[in-house]
Amino acid sequence: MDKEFIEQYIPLYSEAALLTVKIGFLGIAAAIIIGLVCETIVYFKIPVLRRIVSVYIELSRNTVSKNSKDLHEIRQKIGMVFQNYELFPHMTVLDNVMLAPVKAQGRKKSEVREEALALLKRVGLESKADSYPRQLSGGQKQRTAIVRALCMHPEILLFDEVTAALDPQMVREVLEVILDLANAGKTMLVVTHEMQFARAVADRIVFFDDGQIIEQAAPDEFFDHPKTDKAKQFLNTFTFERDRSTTNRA
Amino acid sequence: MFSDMLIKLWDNGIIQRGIWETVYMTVISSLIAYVIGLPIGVILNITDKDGIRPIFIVNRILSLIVNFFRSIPFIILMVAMLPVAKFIVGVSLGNQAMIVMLVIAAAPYVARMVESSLKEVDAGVIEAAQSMGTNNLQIVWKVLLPEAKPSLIVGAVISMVTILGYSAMAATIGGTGLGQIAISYGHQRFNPDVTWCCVFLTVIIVQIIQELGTWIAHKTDKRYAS
Repeated sequence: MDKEFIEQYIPLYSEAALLTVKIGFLGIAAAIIIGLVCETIVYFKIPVLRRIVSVYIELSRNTVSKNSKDLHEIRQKIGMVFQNYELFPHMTVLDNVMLAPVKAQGRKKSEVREEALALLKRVGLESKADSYPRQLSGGQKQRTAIVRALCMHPEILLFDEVTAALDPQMVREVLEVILDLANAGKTMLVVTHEMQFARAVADRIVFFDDGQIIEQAAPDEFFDHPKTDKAKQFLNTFTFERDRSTTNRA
Repeated sequence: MFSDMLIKLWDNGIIQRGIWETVYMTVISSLIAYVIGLPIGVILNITDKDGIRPIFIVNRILSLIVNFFRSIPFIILMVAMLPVAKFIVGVSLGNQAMIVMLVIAAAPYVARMVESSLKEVDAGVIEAAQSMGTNNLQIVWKVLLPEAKPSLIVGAVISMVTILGYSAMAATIGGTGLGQIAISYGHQRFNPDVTWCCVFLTVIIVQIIQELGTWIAHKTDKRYAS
């Protein structure tokens, strides 16, 4: 990972106040951008990212040190939702949500409990508070994961392909929660392949390929008038045309 | 049907005492072995290069120590550790000394068991905990150990059965219990039925430990149990 590679991301951090939805041929780009947000740094255990983090610190001369205590504080300000939910299987839904606010942030249990229940109600899961993750559907698990991230009062929320492992009807219920958050003015960074959703919700689209930012634009502009060939090609993968004349002949 | 010896041993309560001593040695040794082995296992896991706090040198040194004790056959380890037992409990004979031996032999075994149980914990769940800003101690207490609990209990059962086997071997250098009865009354005085009686009783003890452990492991497993 060289300097130029990192530098291309820097404009993104300053614009992170906007809801940004990224589309890409997946791969490492998603993980990278999620690793570097705003003026803060998320430090994940992916070796590649670790190197980027140190490069980024050098570049920006940010006051954030690699000291682990700082990192814990930074991480608490950044909510993450994962593709595979990553709920704690041995805890109930409510305990999953309450763990980090109580333990990591040291907030009062009763207060966190109240908030957690309110958030669960907001996503329609109040009846599942005492269930274990294995008793939930994929969509319910993902909504729980979103609540878990929200309960930390994050300054920014990161969604890493949160609907990739879900059935279409469950995708809907999860996306509705994200939409609800967008309307409430929450800053979010969403890695997704849900094109229509991205177009409808995003303030800004960033298109990635092979770890590089290929194109960034407002949603309508990106979908209607893609500038680069790669973006055009990518958008075309979702349109299909079949030559009916050949089948009729047979 | 039974030899006089077996009936005499039973009437004098020697077999009953043997059962008690075997159980006592196994349980106490297992407990102490876990007090020592569990933290070592946790440290081995978290300092591993894939762990939550990789420290190569600590991992390497601990791993070497554990491997060292694990590679000595128990019967040799016992003889070699006699002075250690004498130093710790003041005697080199009897059950107290044997418990020292059992702990020395079992703690590294337990550490490896714990380490492998913790390795089974889904890395994604740990990453989720990290992303929320929990510190390493909190991850160990709130995620790693609870998450691995069913596996840890299954490991504990395996360790206990192994320790029970070791406790019988300890009879050769002055331990007591069913192993000693089988050797000195059964084998050395040609009473095969005494030996078989001890075998039978040992099998029952192992069965009880196994069934109980499996039941508890199943009860605590929130992932699949219904």
